[in-house]
Amino acid sequence: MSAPAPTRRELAAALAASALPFAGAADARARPMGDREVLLGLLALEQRSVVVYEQLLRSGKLSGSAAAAARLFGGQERRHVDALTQALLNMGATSVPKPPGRQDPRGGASELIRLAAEHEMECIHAYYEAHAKLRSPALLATAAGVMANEAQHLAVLRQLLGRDPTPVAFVTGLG
Amino acid sequence: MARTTPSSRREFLRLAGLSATAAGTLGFAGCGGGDDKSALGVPDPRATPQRDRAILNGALNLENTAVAAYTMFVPLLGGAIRRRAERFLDQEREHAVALAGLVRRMGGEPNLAKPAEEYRAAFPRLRGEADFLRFATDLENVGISAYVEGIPKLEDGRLRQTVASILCDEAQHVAVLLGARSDDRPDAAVPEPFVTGKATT
Repeated sequence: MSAPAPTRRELAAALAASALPFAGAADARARPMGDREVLLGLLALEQRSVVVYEQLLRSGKLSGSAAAAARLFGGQERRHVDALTQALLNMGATSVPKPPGRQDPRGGASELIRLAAEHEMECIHAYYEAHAKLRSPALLATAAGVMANEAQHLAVLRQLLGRDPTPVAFVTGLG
Repeated sequence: MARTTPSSRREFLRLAGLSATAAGTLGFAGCGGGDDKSALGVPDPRATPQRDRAILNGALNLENTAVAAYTMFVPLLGGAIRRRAERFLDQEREHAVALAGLVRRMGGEPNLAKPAEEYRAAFPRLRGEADFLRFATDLENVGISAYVEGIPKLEDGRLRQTVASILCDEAQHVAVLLGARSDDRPDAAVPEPFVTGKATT
């Protein structure tokens, strides 16, 4: 992504206009440092998720359900980015990480979908780890909702690859 | 966007021994904030391990209800949906076994499943695959809603991880069920970026 990182004021103005689920600002302030570090890691991953789906769409190699999924999931990842950014601002953060740069996608449609599935696994595992570290109940509730959404992305991507969408009873992002 | 039907939600909650709060949200037994009584009418245990154990036992009730439902309705299905439902049943059983094991390890007595007749009497009469898909979506969403609300109440981080991994499996079930109801359209299968179990398409 070549756009410059938004300033804190721009972020606050943009995010104030939308209803975001990380509303537990007071709760989040109770123990900001540990939770803030966890959120920063998750935000970096979510920013990469947006880039991954942009890559898939820009590749021109997806069509039908696969293209629709990439468009939908990319939009949902953006909502996660917005929510995490809002939470960090609520916790007093003065800057958020810059989104990663764009990379040229390689491979055919199946390979690109597999790449996205692997990235979703990584995200799921990060949220799994975050569940042990986060202390704020509001952040935990939202992290659970986001993690479950990433798991749904993974199920759909697996279906697109012709695989079992729900291969394990305990979804941890490993295996 | 259609909400999960209130009557089916109430019935699932009753079967699982859970309460619906005035706000329409779910509460696991034993995890009320300032309440003296839990959803099951027993004193709210204040010590952390007991409270976590009570939450897990509430989750076990949900899983037992799901096992009973899939066991009852899988024989009515055929083809791909049946194969998926059989997989879901196996996974709900795995959740129940794991939760019962955790409750036991924490020094508690795992809640037992109700007699099959009690579930049978409470579940709706399903007329085919479409009914099953709607019912199963409701059932899974009740579990999801309870898990999303229960996770922040667990003090032990490892238990939160286990419950989150179960939540994600239930969320995947919902995606598959919603997809099956809509020719696998992604926007129907994954309608919302924050999964709460409160709404279905």
